Amino acid sequence: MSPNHSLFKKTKKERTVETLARENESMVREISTLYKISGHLMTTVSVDEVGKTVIRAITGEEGLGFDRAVICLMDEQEAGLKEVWRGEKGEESSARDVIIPLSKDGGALAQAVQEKTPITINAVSDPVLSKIWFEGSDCADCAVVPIIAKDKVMGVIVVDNSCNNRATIKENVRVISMLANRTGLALDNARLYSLLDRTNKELVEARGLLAEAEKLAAMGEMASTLAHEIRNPLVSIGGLARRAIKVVNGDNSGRRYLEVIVDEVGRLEKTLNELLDYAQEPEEAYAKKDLNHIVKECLELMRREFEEGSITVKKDMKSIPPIWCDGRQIKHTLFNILLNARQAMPVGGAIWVSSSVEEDDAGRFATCTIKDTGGGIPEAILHNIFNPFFTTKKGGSGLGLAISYRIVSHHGGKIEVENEPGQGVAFSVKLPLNPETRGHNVYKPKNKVKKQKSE
Amino acid sequence: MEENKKILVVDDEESIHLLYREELEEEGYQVFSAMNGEEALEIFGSNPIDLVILDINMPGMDGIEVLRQLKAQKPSLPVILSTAYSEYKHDLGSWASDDYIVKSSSLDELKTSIRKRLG
Repeated sequence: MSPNHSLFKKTKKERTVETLARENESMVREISTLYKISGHLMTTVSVDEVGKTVIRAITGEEGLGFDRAVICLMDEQEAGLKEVWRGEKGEESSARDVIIPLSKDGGALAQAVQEKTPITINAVSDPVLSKIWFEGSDCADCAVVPIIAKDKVMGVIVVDNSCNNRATIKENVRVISMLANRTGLALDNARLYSLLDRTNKELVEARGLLAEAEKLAAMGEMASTLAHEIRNPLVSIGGLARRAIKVVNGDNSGRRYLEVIVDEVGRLEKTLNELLDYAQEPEEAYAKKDLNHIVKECLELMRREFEEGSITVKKDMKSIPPIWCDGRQIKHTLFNILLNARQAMPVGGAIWVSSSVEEDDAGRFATCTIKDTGGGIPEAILHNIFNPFFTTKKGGSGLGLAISYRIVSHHGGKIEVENEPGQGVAFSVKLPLNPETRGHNVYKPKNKVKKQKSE
Repeated sequence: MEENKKILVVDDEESIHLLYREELEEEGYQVFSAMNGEEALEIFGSNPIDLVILDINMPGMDGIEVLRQLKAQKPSLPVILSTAYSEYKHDLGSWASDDYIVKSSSLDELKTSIRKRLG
C-alpha cells in the first residue's frame, strides 16, 4: 500500500467522520428541538395554541428552520381540508379561507390523507401546491405530511424550503413526520379537553337551571298555600266592606274609611293573582297545528287496538290550513271519540275518519269526522252523552265526552253527532279556522232520524 | 209571585257564608248554607236546589267528590266551583262543573254566572 494511497484513504475517512459528525450534530439539534416542542405541546390545551406552536416550531430560527409551513385540518362537514394556520420564518400569517377537496383535485394533500403517508413533490406540478404560497416559488420542493392521531387523519402539514441552504426537503421528511405525530396527539388532547370543558360548562349550567327550577317550584307551592290562607279572609273583609258601604247612610267619614278598605283589598287581591300567575305554568299551550297530523297521531296510538279488535280504518283526509289550538287537548278529544268507537264494536267493524274544511253561518271550520258501525246510541240517552258522569260503560268515568265537549267549546268549536240507531254514530269535531269565532257554543244534538225533522 | 230560586252555598268558612247569603238574598235568591260536603248532600237531598256554589278545599269530603255525587244524582244541576285556588281550573274533575270562579271580594263574576244559569 503506497503512502499516497493511505493518505487519500485517511482523508476520505476524515471527511466521512466530519460528515457523520455534522449529521450527528444536526440530528441532536433536531431531536432536542422536537423534545422542546413536544414538551410545549403536551401542556397546551387550546387547539389554536397547538397550531401556532407547530408553525413557529417548523419555521422559526430556533426551531426546525424551514421557510414556510401551512397546516390544514379535516373539515368534517365539507369533507375536505381546511387551511387553518400558516407562517413564514417564525412569523404567523393569516390562513386563507379555502377548503381543499379530498378528490383528485386535492393533489398531493388529498393523496397524503388517503394514503396516510408523507409525500415530497415539486409544487409546480401539483394543482393545490402550485397555488398554496402567496408568491410564486422558485425552489418548489414541498413535503406534505399527514397529521395522524389514533389512526385517524386529522389534517396535513405542508412545508417548503424555498431559500435556505439546508439539505433537500426529502431528507427532512422524517423530522416533520415526528413533529406531525406529536401535533396529532396534541390536537386530539386539545379537542378532548375542549369537549370536556364544554360538557363541564353545560353541567354547571344545568345545575344552575335545576336549582332555579327547584326554587320556582318551592315558590309556587308557597304562593299557592298563601293564596288559600290569604284569599278567604280577604274575600270576607273586602266583600263585607262593600256591603257595609251600602248600609252606611250618607257621605261621612265612616263611608270613606270603608271605601279605602275596599280599594286596598282589591289591590291585595290583584297582587295575589299576579303572584299566582307567576308561580303557575301555563296549562294550555295554543299553537298553530295541523289537524290531520293530530288525527294521524291518534290513529297511530290506536292502531294495535284496532287491529286486535278486527276493526278496519278508512281514511279520507283533505288538506286543511293550520288551526289555532292546544294540540294535546285536541288529541285527547279525538282519542276519546276513537276509544268510544272501538268500545262500541266489541266484535269488530269499520271506522271512517275524514277531514275537510266546512263553512256555515258561524264561519269556517276544520272538521274531523269519526264514524263507526257500533250500532249507534239509543235515542233515550242521546241527550245525556255529553253530561259529566253519565256513562253506559261498566266502570266508565262518564267524563270522556264531557271533557271532550268542554275542550272543543273552549276552542270556540263544536261537536256534532249524527246518530243512526242500529247502524252507527258519527262524531264531528269542528274547530274554527278564523280565530274571531272563538267562544263558547251550545251543544245541539242533530239526529238523522226522520221523526225529528217533522217536529 | 214566582218562587225564589234556591241556591246552596257549600264552604267551610263562616264569613264567606255571611257574605254570600246577604249578597245573594239581595239578588232575590233563597240561600241554603252547608259547612261541608256531607251537609251539602243532605240539604240537596231534602230541598229542590236550583244551583250549587261549591268550594273545593274543605275538611272531610272535598268539593270534587261532592260535585261528582251531585252530578250523578242530577246531571242538569248547575254547579259553580268557587275556590281560593286557581290551579284546579285545569284538573280533570273540575271540567265536570259548569263554571269555575276564583273567589274575589267582588261577587260580580259569580252573580253573572248564576244569572246565566238560572235565567
